[in-house]
Amino acid sequence: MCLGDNRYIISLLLMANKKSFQPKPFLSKASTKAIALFVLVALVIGGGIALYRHKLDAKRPQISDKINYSPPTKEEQAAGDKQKQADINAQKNPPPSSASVFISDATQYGDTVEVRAYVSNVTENGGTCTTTFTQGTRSFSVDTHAFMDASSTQCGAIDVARSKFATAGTWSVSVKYTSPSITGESEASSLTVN
Amino acid sequence: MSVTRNTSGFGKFHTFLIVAFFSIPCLMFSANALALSGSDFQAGNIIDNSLFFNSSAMSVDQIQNFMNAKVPVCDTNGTQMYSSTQTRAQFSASQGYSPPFTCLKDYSQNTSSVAGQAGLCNDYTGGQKTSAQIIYDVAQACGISPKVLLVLLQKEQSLVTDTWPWSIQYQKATGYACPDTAACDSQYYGFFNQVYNAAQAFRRYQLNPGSYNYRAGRNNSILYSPRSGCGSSSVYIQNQATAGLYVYTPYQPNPAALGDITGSGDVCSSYGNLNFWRLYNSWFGQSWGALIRTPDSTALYYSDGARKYSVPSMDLVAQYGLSARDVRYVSQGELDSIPLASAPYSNALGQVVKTPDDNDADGAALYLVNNASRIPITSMQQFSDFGFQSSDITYLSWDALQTLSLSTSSLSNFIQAPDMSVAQVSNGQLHAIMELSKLSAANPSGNITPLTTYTLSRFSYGTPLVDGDYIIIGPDSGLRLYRGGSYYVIPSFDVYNCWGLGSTKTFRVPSYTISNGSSSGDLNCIGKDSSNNLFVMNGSAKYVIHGSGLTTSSPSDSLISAIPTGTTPTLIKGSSPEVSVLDNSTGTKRPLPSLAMLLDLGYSPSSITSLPDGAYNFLLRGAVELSNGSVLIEPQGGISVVTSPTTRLQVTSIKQFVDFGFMYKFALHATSTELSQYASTGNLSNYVRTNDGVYLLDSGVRYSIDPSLNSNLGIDPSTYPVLDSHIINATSQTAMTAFIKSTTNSAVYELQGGQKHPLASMTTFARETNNHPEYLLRLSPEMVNSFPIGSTIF
Repeated sequence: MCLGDNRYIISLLLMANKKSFQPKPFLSKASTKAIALFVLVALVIGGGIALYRHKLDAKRPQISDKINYSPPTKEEQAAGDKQKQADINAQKNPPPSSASVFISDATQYGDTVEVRAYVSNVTENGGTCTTTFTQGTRSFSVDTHAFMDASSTQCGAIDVARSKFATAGTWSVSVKYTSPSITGESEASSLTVN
Repeated sequence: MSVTRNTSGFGKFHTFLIVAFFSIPCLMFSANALALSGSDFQAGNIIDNSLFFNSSAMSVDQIQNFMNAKVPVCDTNGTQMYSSTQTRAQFSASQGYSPPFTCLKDYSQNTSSVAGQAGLCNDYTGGQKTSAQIIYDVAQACGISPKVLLVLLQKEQSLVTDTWPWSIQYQKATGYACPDTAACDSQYYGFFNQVYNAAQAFRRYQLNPGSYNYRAGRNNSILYSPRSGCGSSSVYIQNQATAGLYVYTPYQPNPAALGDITGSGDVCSSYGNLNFWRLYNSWFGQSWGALIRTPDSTALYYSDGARKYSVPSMDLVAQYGLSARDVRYVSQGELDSIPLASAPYSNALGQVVKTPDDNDADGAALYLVNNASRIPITSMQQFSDFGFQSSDITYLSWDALQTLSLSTSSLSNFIQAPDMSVAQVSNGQLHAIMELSKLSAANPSGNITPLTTYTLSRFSYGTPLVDGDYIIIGPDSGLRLYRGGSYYVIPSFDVYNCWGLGSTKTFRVPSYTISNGSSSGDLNCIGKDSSNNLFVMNGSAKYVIHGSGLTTSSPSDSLISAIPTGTTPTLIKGSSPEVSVLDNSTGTKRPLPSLAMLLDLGYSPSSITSLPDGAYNFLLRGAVELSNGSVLIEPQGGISVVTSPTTRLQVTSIKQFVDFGFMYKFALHATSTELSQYASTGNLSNYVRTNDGVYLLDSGVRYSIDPSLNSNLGIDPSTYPVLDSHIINATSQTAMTAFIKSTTNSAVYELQGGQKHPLASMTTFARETNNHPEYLLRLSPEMVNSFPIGSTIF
């Protein structure tokens, strides 16, 4: 039972207030002790109830398909203010001077070497991703058409047949992005060809 | 009159106490709804597919009510203070945004219809719509959960809880076409545009997962931050929903962010996907967990978002990489709303899986689910080798399949157990391989698939792939001698030695299970080859024996033939002091009771051959080997004398015992068993025929009987059995005559025709003996009395 269980509390409040119809002198020492004792007992019993309720709640698993209709937390209330500041700051960002290219995967899967890469600071269509594989003096490149996405420019599927690699072993991979507006190249990534 | 108005101080205090009393429990744990910790965040599994793609997770009213709850009062005119000197309206104006501000719960706009695109979103019907309706309709058209869209709106622009949102926040409401470090693409501006394009993007990622930077079922390198130098780590993305979130926002939280999920972390912290996870979990409950159940039933299901599959056991789903941590409790209504998988899908999880469609992105690939990954099965032949049948195949959706990491190696017919043992799979059985050379020869590719104990429990172990004889040392340090599919337990070191096993290849195994075979019992040192020849083995030599009823060991002819044949010994012993005579015609050992007996029997102690107990103890045990003339004291008190290794004669009286001088012979208190091994051939007679002659025994004296006296004595010695002279132990010998007298009587008799005839006088005696008084023999009274009396000779 919490404060939401009103009927019981209201009746208790009424009982307490009925006593207050009779004028009372200042609190005597005995009354003070009684009140202190009452507070102590209230805390102990209340704590016990709380602990028991907590244990019961802990034992019962929570349903996941719930909707939390409770009021916003302080953090949620402050989120709008922070967001506005972030938006203001974002507008002040200068245009990027070079494309930030990142290789998210470069692995041989079966007979295919698969590379995935993207440009994190540009969202545009029309660019080209040039993926270069290097092993010693051997080197070859593959071009893919890049395309814009929600928050990045994707290099798309860079899938290369294993047969294109003259030898097995460790190869180096790098991806260069080129568009009319910007260029940039990833750090080299290591690739094991079996 | 009002009760509250007339209250005294004490009454107020009472009221406070009562309220406090009942408030304490609630205050103490009111924040107990959901305690999220960064340690709960799984970078590869931010949200389950079943939740992310559940478009019916909320109704329009629920969306509206939810937004209303999160903005109890909208500061439409920006009258609240932004800072100590500026109202929100004033501050907004300074940034180019003026009130009135429209909170999301109150937002509406006219939207255009959008034609559906195959595999992405269905048709969207435009019109003037509230934000709740737009969210709901886009969710329905694109198959994305409205909860996901609400979280996205909050994560990107805080629109759900913002009480004074600016127009720019609606323009890039979901952050679509907005790089983290650059300006947004204005052609995608607008609330509906943003919501629709974001939802469509997630469907696009799902439709063409191979075209994007982050893919489910792969290890992906994910940056911590747009800032250079903050680094990245590899994350195995378990499902498409999570992959989509990373494509949309390509950063993961770093440890600093995970340690402070509502704070700001450090300069390398990115909160986008962490905020998505945190918001979803605090608003809509647990976001992860493909296993679903209700609190009131133990029935467990695996959900792929569109359907649920029965879960046979937690051990099985452990192979899917799932544990109790992945169990999500849902209401009965939610559980019922997810249909049980039906054709072409299987309705329960299994370990051999494929998608129903052979022409989808996965083709006709079959996988073995093992240790949170799917291992491609290379061929139907391999499928058969593993003993799988078509009924073993579980048809799963592609969404479900790709939650499992794709093994970089295909399934090999050579597998490795967690205990590191290796086996070849054929005919549904595992055949342990113990030798590296054997493995290399059989499996030149070197591809070995590690399998879990659970997976291995599907299979039984067959005969190990080891040629010839070999020894297994088990986990209990026990030894077994194997050949083919059977084995002998090697019970002791001397048995190990007697077979000369020191050079036999030996393998230590973690479990006897892998060296499956039928037990032939304990190995001993009585070898039998395939031609039923018997040998006593002692490691350095084998000795031919014969017989039947022996406990023998037949591990292999090659082991027997490797040991040279020796001359079968007569005297043998084991580790105990006992020495026996080996009867190799019967495989019987006959213990010698003493060294004296050994000597008495004419053997030399130097000829004793030591055998391992594994041989000695397994020879048949015969009667104690006694020399002829040895005395057997019978259990019932009778006495016999040994006349051969297998026969005895009954001693009829103490007098006879004395007559033969048996008191000086070896006497054995024989058991009935021992006694039975010496067959009684009758009673001992005081007349004894040996190879030396015929004797009469009396009082320890043997009297040699000349054949001329036979008629006098009335005997026919040719009818007597020929006994070993050792039987007679009389110390003195004299020639028998026809004249006897008792040692206790003066009467003198002459034996004739087997009768004793009294001689009437010494004159008669002198006449009969021709004056040879020495012919008179003094016999015991019993012996004299044994002759019937005849007529007196005068």
